[in-house]
Amino acid sequence: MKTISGWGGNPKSVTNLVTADGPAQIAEAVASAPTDRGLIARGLGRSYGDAAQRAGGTTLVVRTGREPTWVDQSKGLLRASASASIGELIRFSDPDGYFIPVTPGTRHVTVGGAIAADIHGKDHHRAGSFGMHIESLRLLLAGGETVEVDRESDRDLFNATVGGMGLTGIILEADIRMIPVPGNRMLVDTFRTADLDVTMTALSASESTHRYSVAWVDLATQGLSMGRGVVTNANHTTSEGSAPLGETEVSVPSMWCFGIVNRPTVAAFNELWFRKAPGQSRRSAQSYDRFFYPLDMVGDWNRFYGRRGFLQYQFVLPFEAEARLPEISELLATSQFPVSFAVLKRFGEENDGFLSFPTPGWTLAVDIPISSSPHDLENLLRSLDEMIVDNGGRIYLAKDSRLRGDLLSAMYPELGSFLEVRERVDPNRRFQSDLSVRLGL
Amino acid sequence: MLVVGGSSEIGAALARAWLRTGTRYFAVTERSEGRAAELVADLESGGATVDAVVLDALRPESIAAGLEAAWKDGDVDVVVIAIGLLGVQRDVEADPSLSWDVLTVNATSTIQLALDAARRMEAQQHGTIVLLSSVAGQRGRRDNYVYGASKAAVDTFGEGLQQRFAGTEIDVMLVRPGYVVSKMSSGVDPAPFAVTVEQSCERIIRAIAQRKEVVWVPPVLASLFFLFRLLPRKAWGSIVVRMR
Repeated sequence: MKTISGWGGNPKSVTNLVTADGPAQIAEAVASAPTDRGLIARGLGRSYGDAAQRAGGTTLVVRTGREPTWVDQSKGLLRASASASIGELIRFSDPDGYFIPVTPGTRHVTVGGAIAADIHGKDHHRAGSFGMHIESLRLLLAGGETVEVDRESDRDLFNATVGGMGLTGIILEADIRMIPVPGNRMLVDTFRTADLDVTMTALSASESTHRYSVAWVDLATQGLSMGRGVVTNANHTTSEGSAPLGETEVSVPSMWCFGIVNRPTVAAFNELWFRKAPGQSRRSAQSYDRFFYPLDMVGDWNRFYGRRGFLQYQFVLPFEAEARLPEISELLATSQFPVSFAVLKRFGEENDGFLSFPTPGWTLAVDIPISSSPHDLENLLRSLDEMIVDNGGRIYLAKDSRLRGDLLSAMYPELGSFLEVRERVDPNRRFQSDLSVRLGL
Repeated sequence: MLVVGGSSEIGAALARAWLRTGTRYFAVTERSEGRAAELVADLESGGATVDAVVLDALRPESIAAGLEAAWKDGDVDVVVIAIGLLGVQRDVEADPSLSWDVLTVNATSTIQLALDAARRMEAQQHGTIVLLSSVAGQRGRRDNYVYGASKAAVDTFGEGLQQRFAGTEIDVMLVRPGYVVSKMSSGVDPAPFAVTVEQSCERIIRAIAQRKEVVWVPPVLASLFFLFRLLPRKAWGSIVVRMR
């Protein structure tokens, strides 16, 4: 038994951690795992909460060793093993002039995890979520059969698996449509915005001109400057034949166990970060590492939050309800809990995944260090949950560690369809995670 | 969440506090169906959903069945054992058989509940058991030595149970309140450092999050009783006489 957790460091679960290499071992692990508390697959453990762990059950770290291959290079169609990371795919496809169509803020996410969480990136308003770029996938079901799934052969199973948090089966492989790019550099426009209003306006204006657009926002400052931010907009550009990705330069050592993230340090960091950005828009060419994965440059940065760890809370508020965004931000900024990191973005079209998170609207993701009064924090988040649900929004399960299941069907209207598929392919609930049990999935 | 002794004031106050955050599965135990229904109605008036489990703390089979019912829908994260009988010391001295009830509810049943919950939490590899003890368990006192004896049992039991789960994700918390202003204590004169049910509730909830092992309510009692525990019998005896 091992104690593991998500990227936020909590909740911790004591689980039987098993590694399986190759389809045969994976099938064996699924068949032989005790059924009373279930089993869940785990990739690189970048979900923030308890989606990839099962207390008292089995957590299966999946490796399917095969290198990515081109199925049809002219169309950018690539076949990747579910355990391949986004970083590996970028390195593989770069020499041929391709890039991953959707990338999250870290390259240490597996293909399986990316599908299960239906991840989104800074280009959601143009490219949609990861699942939209999957042609087909290979899935190991609870009963032991392996099936090839796509939108034609079994649309419901496909849509239950995309965003399905690993609960329909173990993803073994997927065919992904990569995008052609002129080079491996990004042309980035960076500028400051004075408050939330200006930030929102700037992001709206960037959609037509930039493929990638996102804003870091300051929710530690109250009053008129609340929601001031740094907008970074980008497009792909040509390069001079340099390597696409570098290596992690520095890592926080495992001995570091005390948190340094608190209100004063957050305020100081935010001030510096805000001032560092240019007042006037400045254009620069940046590497993939610098634009997409700045946090990857410091390995295990989550250790700065200390033993208690932190919580990520990400929601989407439909555009029709955008007038409520300032109110919600205000609640966070004026609460007793420091928001150590906040990112704002506009979402584009929705995907068909039954539990897929993105929907047209504003998405805000915040980091909050776990304090000594988590009960009060939960009270705050619960009232935010209710506000978000009342306005037609929802919470992102890949970041979640504490949502209650009673609000889930209001957040995800296609929950019923998801549960039907789950009943069909896993009636005995062989696949379970702490998240699925908490939410009643 | 499971609060055993849901109609006790501390039990109900904890239930209300947790229900505000939308705690999904909540079971409170109550001695009879009628009282169970009343309790559920009261707690649900805030808009939450509560499951009541009937559990008679004087019957071992009822305890086992009660926990089985509480666990049927999945893992239980926190179990608070808030059943307690103060007993009227004078009456118990006059009719010694009354001591059985006090000791059964406060010690025997509490211990059976805790052991059963512990067994179930071992399977789920996580959870918190909250035991309500009392400062009365620290030393024998003329006014409440039967009650105190039952709480002393809880303290020693709790210490051992904590050792069983040391280093795991299962927490055992011993709460030692002093005088809490409530229905139960209405027949007893207030002692110094009295607290309200709300204050106790707040301390308990905070301490669960902090994974504390022993919680004194109010905290000053920890130092006070540390000193009291060191006193030789005669000295303690004269203090007790002076307190009456």
